[in-house]
Amino acid sequence: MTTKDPNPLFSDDLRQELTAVSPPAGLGQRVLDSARPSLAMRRATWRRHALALAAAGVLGFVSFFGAQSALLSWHGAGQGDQSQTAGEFSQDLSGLRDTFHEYELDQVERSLRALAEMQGEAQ
Amino acid sequence: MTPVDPSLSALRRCAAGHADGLAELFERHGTQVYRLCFHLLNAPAEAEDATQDVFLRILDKASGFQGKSQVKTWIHRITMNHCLNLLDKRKRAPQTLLDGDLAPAPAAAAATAPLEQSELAHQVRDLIARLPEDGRAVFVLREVEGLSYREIAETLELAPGTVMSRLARARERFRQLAGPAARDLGLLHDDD
Repeated sequence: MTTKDPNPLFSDDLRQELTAVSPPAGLGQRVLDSARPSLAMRRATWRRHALALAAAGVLGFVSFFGAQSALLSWHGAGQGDQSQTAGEFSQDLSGLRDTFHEYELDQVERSLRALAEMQGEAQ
Repeated sequence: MTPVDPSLSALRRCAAGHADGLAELFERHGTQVYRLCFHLLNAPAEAEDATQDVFLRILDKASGFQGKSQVKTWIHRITMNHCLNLLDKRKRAPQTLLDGDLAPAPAAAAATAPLEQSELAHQVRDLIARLPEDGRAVFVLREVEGLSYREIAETLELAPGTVMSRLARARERFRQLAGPAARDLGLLHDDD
């Protein structure tokens, strides 16, 4: 932004002449030509940075999901063990109940038989 | 909402190594950079080289631009610092510069700067070249480029008070250098 000086040293005409200076034709091209090696180096650096960033991103993605997957699998295995234990326990319990019933039935049978023998002896 | 500086995207492309970014920066600021170099160095050939160096510096520093100032102000600062360094070198090694380069003959000046036609403007440039360097920078930014005190302070990283005092001293020195003929030549206003 330029401001109009309320008390300029030079007249407007003189100032116009002073500012009527343009770079010689071809200077822009000369600047571009001289900058080419530096531009190419910058592009290569940026490409390397972009690749490094992309690689870091992929690595981060893989690490994150790998860790998550491992965590889930560990958690799942833990849950599996628990259900297996519960199942086994349930099976054991069921077996125990069966054994107990068998014992009970056996006892009842024995008691009935003993009672019948006692009744027969009495008759 | 503050408007987006149009030179900023060009500077970003430049930092990424895209030639079109540098070309756009030159298109937007090349004339002013050249003009500053021209007025500070008062040597057209040297001003061309300095302009080229300034744009290479812009390219080098592009990725470090923090946006604390406008791109234009930042470019002015690089230009002024580069020119002041060149003037410092010139002062330390005056024998390396030919007299004719400092004050080109009208024909030579016309060949290198075709838009400059006035002998008066040429004389003014010679007087500016005789100002002390710190005052010359402030003088050119204010009297030729028409920057505000705040813009000059930002460009040269000086306190506004320092800008004003340097400008006052430079104006006074300019009047002394111009001598009594200044008003007759139309260099100064009647109220000065």
